[in-house]
Amino acid sequence: MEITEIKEKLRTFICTELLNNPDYPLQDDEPIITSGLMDSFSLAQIGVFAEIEFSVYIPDADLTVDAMDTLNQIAMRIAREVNK
Amino acid sequence: MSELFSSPINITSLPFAVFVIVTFLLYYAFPRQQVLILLGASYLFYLTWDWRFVLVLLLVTVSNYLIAHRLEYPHRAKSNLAKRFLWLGLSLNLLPLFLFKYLDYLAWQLSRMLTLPAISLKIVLPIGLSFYILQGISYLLDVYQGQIAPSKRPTHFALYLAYFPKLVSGPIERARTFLPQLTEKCIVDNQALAQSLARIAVGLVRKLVIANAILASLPSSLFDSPAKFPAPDLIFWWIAFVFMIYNDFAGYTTLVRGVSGLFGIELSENFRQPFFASGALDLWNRWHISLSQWLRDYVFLPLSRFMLRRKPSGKFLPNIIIPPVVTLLVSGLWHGINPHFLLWGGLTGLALAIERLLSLKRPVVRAATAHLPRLSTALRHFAFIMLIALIIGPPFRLEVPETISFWSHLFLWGPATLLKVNKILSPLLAFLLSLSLDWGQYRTQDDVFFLQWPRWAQSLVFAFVILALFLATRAEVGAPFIYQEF
Repeated sequence: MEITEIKEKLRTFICTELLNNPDYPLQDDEPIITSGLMDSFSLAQIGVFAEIEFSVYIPDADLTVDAMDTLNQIAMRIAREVNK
Repeated sequence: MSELFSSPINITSLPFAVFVIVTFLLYYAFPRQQVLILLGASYLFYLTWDWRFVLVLLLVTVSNYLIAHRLEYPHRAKSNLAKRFLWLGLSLNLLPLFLFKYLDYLAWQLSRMLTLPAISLKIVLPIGLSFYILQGISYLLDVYQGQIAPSKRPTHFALYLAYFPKLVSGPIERARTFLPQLTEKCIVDNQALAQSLARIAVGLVRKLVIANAILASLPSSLFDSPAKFPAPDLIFWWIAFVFMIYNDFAGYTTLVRGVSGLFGIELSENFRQPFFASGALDLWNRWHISLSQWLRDYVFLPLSRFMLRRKPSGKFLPNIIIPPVVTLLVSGLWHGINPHFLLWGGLTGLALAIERLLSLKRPVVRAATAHLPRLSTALRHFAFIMLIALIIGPPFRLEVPETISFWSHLFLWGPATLLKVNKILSPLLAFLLSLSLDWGQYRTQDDVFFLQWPRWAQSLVFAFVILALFLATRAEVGAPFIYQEF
């Protein structure tokens, strides 16, 4: 699966489900958690979304603010599991 | 021999300084034996507390080391046997925690319920047990989940649990960050040495100058019977207590991080200016970070994901409330089995859930561009965190009836009896020093920010540190670190 496809699915999920604003213009490198857009509890939802949508498991220890703060970071982490 | 070990080595004592210097010299004199030297020093350090503590640590180390090798299966193909070994390993970690930490209290409660004479089993809690047990559990779970391979070197693994700078009160390290440091060549250059010594200085100031100064002024009667005091007394001295416990524990962590840095081993950060947190969740992420992250990884996230898999909605009320409340109840239980710790944990979890519920209603706006933190923002956050501390914090220190009494008296305004200038001057200066340190660290994101200052300013800082430590140690308030009781 291409990373752009992962990114678009993630963008839709984050804007619709986590930010409650499907029209939000989320940038690839925009900090989502450290900027206060979303709280770190939402990382659990991103973990489960990756399981359901891409059939990959991101370990709990990797669901950290440092490693998952931007769309790019999350998409790349998922892509790494998808392409294993 | 018995004279040498007649009293435990306290981390802020001169014997500890001598102990560190001797270990440091041996460590660099025999570079091929560095792990063995640190392991020997760690066990010797622990031996000065109680030889029975060493036995417990050894048993936990051996059981975790052996069981971890039974958990390693390729491609996550977990056999039933591996699962059984995992449960065995977890039980062997939890058993000493139950025996040494909870059994005495449970027996006493049982005797009270059955109206029998009070039972006291006089069980002594091994210092640091609660901390190294969590490290053992995380190691087993990480190996089981295929996150790390089991350690092939028994001495490295033994040092992971016993490493003396973190043995007494953490930070709670993870094997995946700690063990690789033992195989790398440890080079401590001038910059790292300066950083380590600066951390030791900051740690000593936080503990000996700030925390001990507040401790010396704290009126113990206020915590024994808060009902006797009006709101202004309760508010001021509760805030003083919060400053004291923060500087005590943050001081300890900064000090041991500095000591560890002398051996080229980086320990985790435990505090990140919690008084400037923007809310309850941010506070949780900044206070006792190594415990918060442990709970997040091994309790909150697995529970949260389990619930989300069953009902994948972030707005489903049980998904919002149950994971933080359960996680913080576990945190309360880790601190102690007494009902007041559970009340504190439950309330903190509830505060996190409420904050999350409110955030779901908050309109999402474009994030502000990065800028330096403002003093006005920090002060606003500080006021909010003190309010949270007044509402949620009391059961951390007070028994449940005293907590209720404390809360009810917060609404009882009368003339203060414990706020005379001569009594509050020393705590107020300590608050100011603590907040100044925090502000410098917050603004620069550097725990030893003054190392970036010009030489003359650094000299002034160190002159102040020496003078303050000299005056503080003459006051002879030799209180042990609070978190070593856990």
